[in-house]
Amino acid sequence: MNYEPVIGLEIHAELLTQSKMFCSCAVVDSTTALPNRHICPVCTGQPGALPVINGRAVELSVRVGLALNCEIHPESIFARKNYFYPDLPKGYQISQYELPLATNGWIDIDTPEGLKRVRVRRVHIEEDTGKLSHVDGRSLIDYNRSGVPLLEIVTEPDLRTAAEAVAFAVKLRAILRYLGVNSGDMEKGVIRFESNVSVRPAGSDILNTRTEIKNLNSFRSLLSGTEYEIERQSKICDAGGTVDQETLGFNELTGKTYSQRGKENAHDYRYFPEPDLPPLVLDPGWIQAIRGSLPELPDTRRQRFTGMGLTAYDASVLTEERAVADYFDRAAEYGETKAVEPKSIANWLATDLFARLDDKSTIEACPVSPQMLVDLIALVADRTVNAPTARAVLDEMFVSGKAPGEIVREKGLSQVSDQAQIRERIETVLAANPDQVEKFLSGKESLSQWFFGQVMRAMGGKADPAVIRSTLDEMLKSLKK
Amino acid sequence: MSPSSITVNDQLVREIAFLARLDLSEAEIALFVDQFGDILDYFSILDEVDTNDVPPAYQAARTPSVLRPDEPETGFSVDDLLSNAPASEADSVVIPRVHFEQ
Repeated sequence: MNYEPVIGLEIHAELLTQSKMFCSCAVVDSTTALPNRHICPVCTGQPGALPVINGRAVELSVRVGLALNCEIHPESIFARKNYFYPDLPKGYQISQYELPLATNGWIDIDTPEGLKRVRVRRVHIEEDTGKLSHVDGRSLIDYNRSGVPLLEIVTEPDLRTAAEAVAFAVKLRAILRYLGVNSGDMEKGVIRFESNVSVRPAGSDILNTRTEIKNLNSFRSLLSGTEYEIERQSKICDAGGTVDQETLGFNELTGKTYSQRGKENAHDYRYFPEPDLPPLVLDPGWIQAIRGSLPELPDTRRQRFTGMGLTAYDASVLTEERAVADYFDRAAEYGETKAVEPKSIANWLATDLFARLDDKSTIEACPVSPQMLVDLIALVADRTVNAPTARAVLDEMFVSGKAPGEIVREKGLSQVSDQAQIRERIETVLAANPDQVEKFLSGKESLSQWFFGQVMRAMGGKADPAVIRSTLDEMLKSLKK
Repeated sequence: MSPSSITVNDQLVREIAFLARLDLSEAEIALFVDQFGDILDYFSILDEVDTNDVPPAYQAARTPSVLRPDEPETGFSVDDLLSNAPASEADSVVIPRVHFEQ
C-alpha cells in the first residue's frame, strides 16, 4: 500500500550567550573545556540555590520568535519538567509549557513542488543538561553544559518527506546563524533535531500513532533516521500491525532506529509552574526594538540578489551563510565604482574563490578582500590579463595577500594583445609543425584548437585568447586558399 | 481535574512511587493509599470557592520579572563539587553506568 508520512520536528538550539540561562557561569565549548570548571550552586542543583533569568538569552529568543514569524507573548511562564536522569542535577529541567514565549509562526521551504509553508507551533526557553560519558561500567558527569540557554522550536506536523524535514532544518539553521543566536556547529551538538513520524494511507487525513526519534545530530542522520522510520512503519502497516507510540534512538552506523524505553516507562513529566521564577513579562517597546534590530534574513536577501541579476541558484548559494552574503554585498557595492557586474562577481565568488577556501581560510578570514576580488575581475574585464592568468594571480593573492595589480606588475603577467606579436608567434608555430598543417588542410579542422594551445604556450599563457583566436582563424583560412 | 475525580488505589500509589524512585513495602502502600485520600479530601475544600470568573494564578507572589545582565562570573571549584560526590574520576562525578542500550 502507498503511505503518506506525516512529520513534525522538534529542534533544540543552544543560544550564543556569555553566561548560562539561570546563573552567571560562563558558557564554554563543552567538547573541549576541562570537565566541571564552569559550575555553581544553581547549575549543579544545590539545595536552596535560586535561578535568575539571563536577559540576553531572552532577547535572543525573541529574535528567533520574530524571525520565525511568531506571535511573541508579552507574558510567558517557566515550568518545571520533572524527570530523573543524572545529567539533570535538580531532578527537573526549567522549561516553558503552558504559556511559551512565542507561538504560531511559519517559515517557507523549497521543495521539488515549489515553495511550501511550514507552521511553527511554538518557541520556548529552557536549559541544557549536563554531559554524560560512559566508560566500562561507569558513567562520568560533566556539568559545564548544565544550564546553558536552550531554545526549543516545535513545528506542526506539516512535513511530508524526509527531504522536506531536512530542507526545514537547513533553513532554520541558516536563520539562526543570520540572527547570531547560534553557531550552527552541529558537530559540537549546539543544534539537535528530533523527528516525529507517523504514516497514513495516501489521501487520508487521519493522524496515526507517531514515534519520536531523538538526538539526530546531523542533516544526514535526520534524513536517514526519518527515512528508515517511514519505511519501518509502512512495513508494520502492510503486515496489518500497529505502530507503538515510543521514543527511538538512531544508530548512525547501522542506519536503524531502536526503541529507547518501553511503554511502561512512558514519561510523566508532571509539569507545574516554576515557583522560583515570576512570570516573564516583556515590555512591548523592547519587543519592537528587537524587531527593528533584526538583520536581513536569507529569503529577503536571496530575492534582492536575484534582483541584481544573479541566477536563482547563485543567489541561493551566496545567501546560505551570512558571512558569504556580506562579502558579496561589499564586493557588489565596490564593483559599481569599477563597472564590474554583480553577476560576474557571483561567478568568481561561487567558483574560484570558494574553491580556494578551506577550514583554515574561511570567508571571514579570507586574505582576499571583496575589493581585491573586484579589482582582479576588473583586470580581466579590461583585458589586462586573461582568465587563466587571473586564476593564477588569485592563487598568489591567497599566499601573499598582495593586490592583484601589484602581482601582475611584479610578475609581468600583463596580457599580450598586440596582434603583430601574436601573428609572429603563430607563424613560428605553423612553420615548426608542417605535418599538422598538412593534416589540417586535408580536413582535420579540430587541429585549430591544438594550434591555439601551442601559441598560448609559446606566449607563456599571457596572450589575449580572443586575439589569438581571430588571428589564427584568419591565417589558417588564408592557407586553405 | 478536581480531586474528587481521582481514585486513590494501590496502582496509583505504585505509579507515583515509581516516578519518585521510591521502593515501598506492601504495608507502606496501604498506608499511603489512606493518606493520599485524606490529603485530596482536605484540598477538595477549595472546590467550594467559585473561581469561574477568576483568571488562573500561576504564582502566589506577583513580583515583576528580574533579568540579569549576561556577564560571566566564577562559581565554585571542581573540588567543591567533587567533595559532595560519592565517587569521582577525571574531574567528573562517577555513577554506575546509565545508558539506553540498543
